[in-house]
Amino acid sequence: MNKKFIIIVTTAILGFAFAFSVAAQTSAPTTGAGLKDRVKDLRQNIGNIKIQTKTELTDIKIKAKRAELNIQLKATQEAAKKRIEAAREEAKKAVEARRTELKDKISKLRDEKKKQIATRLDEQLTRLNAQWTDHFSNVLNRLSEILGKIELRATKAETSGKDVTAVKAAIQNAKAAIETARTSVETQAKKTYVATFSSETGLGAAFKAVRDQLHKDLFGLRDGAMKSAREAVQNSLQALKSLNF
Amino acid sequence: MNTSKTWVWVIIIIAALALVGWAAWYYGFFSPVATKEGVQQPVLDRDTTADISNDLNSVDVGNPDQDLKNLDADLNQL
Repeated sequence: MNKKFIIIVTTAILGFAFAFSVAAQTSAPTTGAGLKDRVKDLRQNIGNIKIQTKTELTDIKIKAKRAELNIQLKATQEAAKKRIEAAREEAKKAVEARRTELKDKISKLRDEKKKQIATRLDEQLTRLNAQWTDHFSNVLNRLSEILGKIELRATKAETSGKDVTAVKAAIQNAKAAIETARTSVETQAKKTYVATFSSETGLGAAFKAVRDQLHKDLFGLRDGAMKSAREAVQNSLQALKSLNF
Repeated sequence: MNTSKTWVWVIIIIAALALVGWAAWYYGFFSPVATKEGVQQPVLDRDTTADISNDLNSVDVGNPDQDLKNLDADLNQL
């Protein structure tokens, strides 16, 4: 019985081995065109695996760069916001005495309508400066985000073997231009617009002079540092476009 | 009689094992682990130069002129 069992098991194993050797012959040809095809397939598979590994490594690098840029952007934006708030607080304290004096003078005006207009103008001048410095700061935040995208795209191009030296230089210029603009916005936020007049007859001229100064400063900032920052980002994009990536 | 019964069992076992083996081979149980090629997509990229260009074009530095003109209405009454 035991001998029979050994014979059965041995025969079964031999049969199993035979079946698989036949199957292996079918799946892995060893002669002629079949073998060539098999080698070609293997080479193709190796090539695919290499490409996949390279793509995965690039993806990891890009993800890391994106995370790094996001952290940098958030930190820069928070810092800029705090700097502007501090500048405004500083300006508010610096002008406190003059503003009290102005309010005192306005309260002494005999014409009630002029009193209301002067009060309103004083508030509007301060509000407009705050509103526009906030707007410029937001524009710079947006430009920084766009520059981040350009930087990320440049990193991708670099990993694909493109020469991104010119793009990197343009990005550095843009970063410097944005930083200069941020400083200019901060300086603008520190500025105060308080009319000074000695008599009721000089009221209009005093407010007009302050209004003109605000106009000059806001347009100076917009057409100066803000425009330069935007152009610098545009130049970075242009450099990126020239890679044809 | 007993011997022929044993051989019938041997044939049945061989046939069963061969069938199981063929099925395993056919469904790829002996193949190396398949790569993810063709399944895993590269990270989606929406930051093309065209997208960035659109983003930049939509950035409006603004014009304080209108706000300042609104002040003028009050100024003219002083």
